[in-house]
Amino acid sequence: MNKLGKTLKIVLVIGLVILIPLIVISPLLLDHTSKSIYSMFIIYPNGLLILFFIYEFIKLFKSLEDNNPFCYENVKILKTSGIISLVISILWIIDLIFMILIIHNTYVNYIIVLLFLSILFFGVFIALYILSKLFKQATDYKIENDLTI
Amino acid sequence: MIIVNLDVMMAKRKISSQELAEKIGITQANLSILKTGKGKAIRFSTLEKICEVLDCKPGDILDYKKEK
Repeated sequence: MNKLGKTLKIVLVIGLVILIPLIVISPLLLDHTSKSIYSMFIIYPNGLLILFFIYEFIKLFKSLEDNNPFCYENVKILKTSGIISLVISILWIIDLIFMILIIHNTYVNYIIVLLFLSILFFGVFIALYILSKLFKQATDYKIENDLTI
Repeated sequence: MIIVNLDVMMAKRKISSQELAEKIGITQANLSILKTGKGKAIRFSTLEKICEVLDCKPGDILDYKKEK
């Protein structure tokens, strides 16, 4: 496995090791009367989704190593990752609305960060979606070429 | 649809797939793709070599049937 793939695997394992105990422990530690506890329901699903994202990309690197990157599985991986980043973007927007309307947290810095995150992941979604379409066409051409004898 | 009758012609000429593949200069895997009709296209150069080796015309190998 190449270096980047290895690094991603390590990141995935570290992320799982840190995140899963956090999900279990943090509800017990946090102040239940505080309203900000609700944003937990945004942040932890996000963490899980990003780990899933990494898991998908590890699969992508595996196929790169097999010297066969243009296959329909990769198209599917890219599409799934795109949808994951769209969901992440929507989650951040929900968090933003939640912060403003329910918690009345109107710190400008906080709002800017949340907006930036949602726009960033929406951009990633568009990029991955276009890439998946690109890979699909490339795969079609490759198969056509492979089956021309 | 186009039907490949390569195996019929090969049987007539009594030539094995391995021998034919070697004479045409393609791999056996590609020849089997062609024989089983999985291929999407055939190069004129390949067709020419097949006709040369089997001593036949393209019409002996390829056939057209109307799709129902």
